[in-house]
Amino acid sequence: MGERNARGKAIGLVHRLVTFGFRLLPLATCLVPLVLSGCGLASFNRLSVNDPIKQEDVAFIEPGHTTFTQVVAKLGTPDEIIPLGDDEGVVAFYHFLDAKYTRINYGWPLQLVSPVPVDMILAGGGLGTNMFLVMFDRQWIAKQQSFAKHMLASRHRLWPFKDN
Amino acid sequence: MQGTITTRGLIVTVCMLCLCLSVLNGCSFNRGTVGDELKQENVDAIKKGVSTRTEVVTALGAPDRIIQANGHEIFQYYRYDIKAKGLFLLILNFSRINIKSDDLYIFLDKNGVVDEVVLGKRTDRLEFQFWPFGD
Repeated sequence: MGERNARGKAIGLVHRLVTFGFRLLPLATCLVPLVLSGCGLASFNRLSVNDPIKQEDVAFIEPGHTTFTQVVAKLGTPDEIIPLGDDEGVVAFYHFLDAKYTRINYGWPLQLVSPVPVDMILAGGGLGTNMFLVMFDRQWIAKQQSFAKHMLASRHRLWPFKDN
Repeated sequence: MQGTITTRGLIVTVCMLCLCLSVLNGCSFNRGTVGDELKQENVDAIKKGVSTRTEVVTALGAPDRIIQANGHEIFQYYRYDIKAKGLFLLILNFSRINIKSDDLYIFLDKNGVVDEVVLGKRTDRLEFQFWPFGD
């Protein structure tokens, strides 16, 4: 009889503990993200300098006609003006840049089961610097324009071992 | 009975608080600037055909760059503004840094008198963004 009572008490205690544990389950579920946050599986980052200038934005420039003032009115002030030799005019540079970087920690899911942190990080990205150049003559009339095309270099790279 | 409801309410409140914290704890806003702001009133004080090199320097300080081109002396002033935002979630982190510049060019003629003033402001369109995809 005494054994039965002791067993019954033990079962009751286990039942209470399990019930209590289940009650805490939502709280534990919420606490786990707090502990794990900040050590993400993947991160995507980007750096942009100035707004990109597109081909259609510069279609208005007509060599021999468009003035420096008109170019500035449409595209804003250039980032740099470089004089050409012998007072033959200037080149106005518009710089813009776009860099993308991706980092994935493939070992991150193992921290859920492993007592020590496991990192297997693959990261990659690209830096796309671009420039738009307009050459002006001595009278500040546009002579020539062109893009330096490197913008495609900017992309998120999930697998860093590819050739391109 | 009343005690049970209170305990459940407390658990729900704590859970909600933890959920809110788990969403908010991974957020960052950063800001940086290079150079002084190019104030419109200072620029407006410079008059074409009237103001001299000395007056320009008095109003705006020494230029960041001096260019000799097409018979002009060009003073360039610039300022950079940087806004960065990060969203650090459980599994995914996103961050984006945006940089824009303001540029002021003052063209001086051979006599050192202001011939043209060109101000371009991009920083007023600078935004905090975290989404690193798209345009």
